[in-house]
Amino acid sequence: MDTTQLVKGVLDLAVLAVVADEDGYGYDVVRRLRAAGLEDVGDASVYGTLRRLYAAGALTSYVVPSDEGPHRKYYGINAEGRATLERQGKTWRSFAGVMDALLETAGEVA
Amino acid sequence: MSAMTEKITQDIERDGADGEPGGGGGVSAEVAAYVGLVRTALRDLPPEDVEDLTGGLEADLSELAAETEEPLIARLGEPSAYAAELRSAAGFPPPGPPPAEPRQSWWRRMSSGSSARWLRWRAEHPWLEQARPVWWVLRGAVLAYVLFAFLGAQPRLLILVLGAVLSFWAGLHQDQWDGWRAGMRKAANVAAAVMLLPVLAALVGGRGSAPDYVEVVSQEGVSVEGERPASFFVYDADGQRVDGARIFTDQGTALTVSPWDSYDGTGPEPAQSQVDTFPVVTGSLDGWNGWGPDGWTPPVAIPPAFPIDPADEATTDPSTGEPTESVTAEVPEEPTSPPTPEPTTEPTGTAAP
Repeated sequence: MDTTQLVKGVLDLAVLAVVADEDGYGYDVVRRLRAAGLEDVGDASVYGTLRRLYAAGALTSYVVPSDEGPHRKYYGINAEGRATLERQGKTWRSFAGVMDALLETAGEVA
Repeated sequence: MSAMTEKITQDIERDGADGEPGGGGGVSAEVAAYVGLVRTALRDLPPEDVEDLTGGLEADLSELAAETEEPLIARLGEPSAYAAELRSAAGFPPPGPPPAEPRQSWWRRMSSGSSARWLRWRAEHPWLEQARPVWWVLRGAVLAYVLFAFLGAQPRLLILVLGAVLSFWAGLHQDQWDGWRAGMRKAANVAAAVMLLPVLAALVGGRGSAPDYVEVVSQEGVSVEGERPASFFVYDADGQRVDGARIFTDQGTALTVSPWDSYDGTGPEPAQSQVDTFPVVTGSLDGWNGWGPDGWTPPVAIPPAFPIDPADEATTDPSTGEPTESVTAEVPEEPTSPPTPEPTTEPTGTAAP
């Protein structure tokens, strides 16, 4: 099953979860998502999602200048982001539970 | 890929000059170009949003580029596709049609394009400016010629000059024209340009075809009631045929006709272009017969011009009896001579008036 479409649906939740663990810049978030197992996540999708969550007020953003290179733009989670994470996390868990149960039933039949 | 590389190279220079906020030192040309192209693809968005979306991208892509030998394009895809993904993930609408230019008809676009080319061309060739009056004159003459030829009249020199003068006058004022007069000017220029060569060809070649109208007057020979006689038949005072007659005008000009007018295609072709002895003998015609169904067959003799005076007759009776006899003597001679040249076309006996 192509996970690209699945990832799209839960990318907000995944990004919030990663950033909630620790502040991060765009590529750092991408890398952590991939390390967690979401191999199919697209770089630009993550950047766009970060921007959208920031615009929705779920993230904070700050720039860290660098001596030897261009500045980095970090994102961190705020109270609203955490509330969103909690709410969407519940939604996901119940959805995943339904799917698991569904597949378990199908497995028994098979 | 090579086109892309070229584009990237161009963008490197541009980004270097811009001094982008995120573009401090230490950014590779590849990264700068890639980010530049992404920003270009997002240029329809407000600048703050573009900065939100791409801020720090140089640093991130530099890190990515440092991790792998793979080119950024192979790793991330085309910058435009990357920008589209960025845009859609961030919740921005896809790029609409380019704002800008109001809709124009294809004709307007084409004509404005061609007039821009024309302006450029004119600027590159200053002599065109000096040549314009020449064109105005030509234009007027050509249009006058076409107009009169169209009306069926033979264009005269005066008409052409008049057209040229009018056109020249228009040329002096046409640059201030707009609206319908500008349209007229354009139409006139196009029409004159199209007709220029045909008219020139007609003027030059016209010398060959003009005789149809003109040379009736100037042609050598005589005209009688609009017809050009092919021959003359001369009878003397006694009504007798005269052979080899030559006729002169009051100016001493010899009357001539073209032997080709009476040549029927048989026998030897006429040697001369003009003949001044009558009746004309040409081809198989001996001059006195065989003028075809349309022609007149000259009689052997006609009544004498002056009735013979009895007194005169009395005095010259012994000597003038002969002419009267010769008339009657020649009549029987007629049937014998025609059969030799052309028996079939012998109408002499019956067609005589």
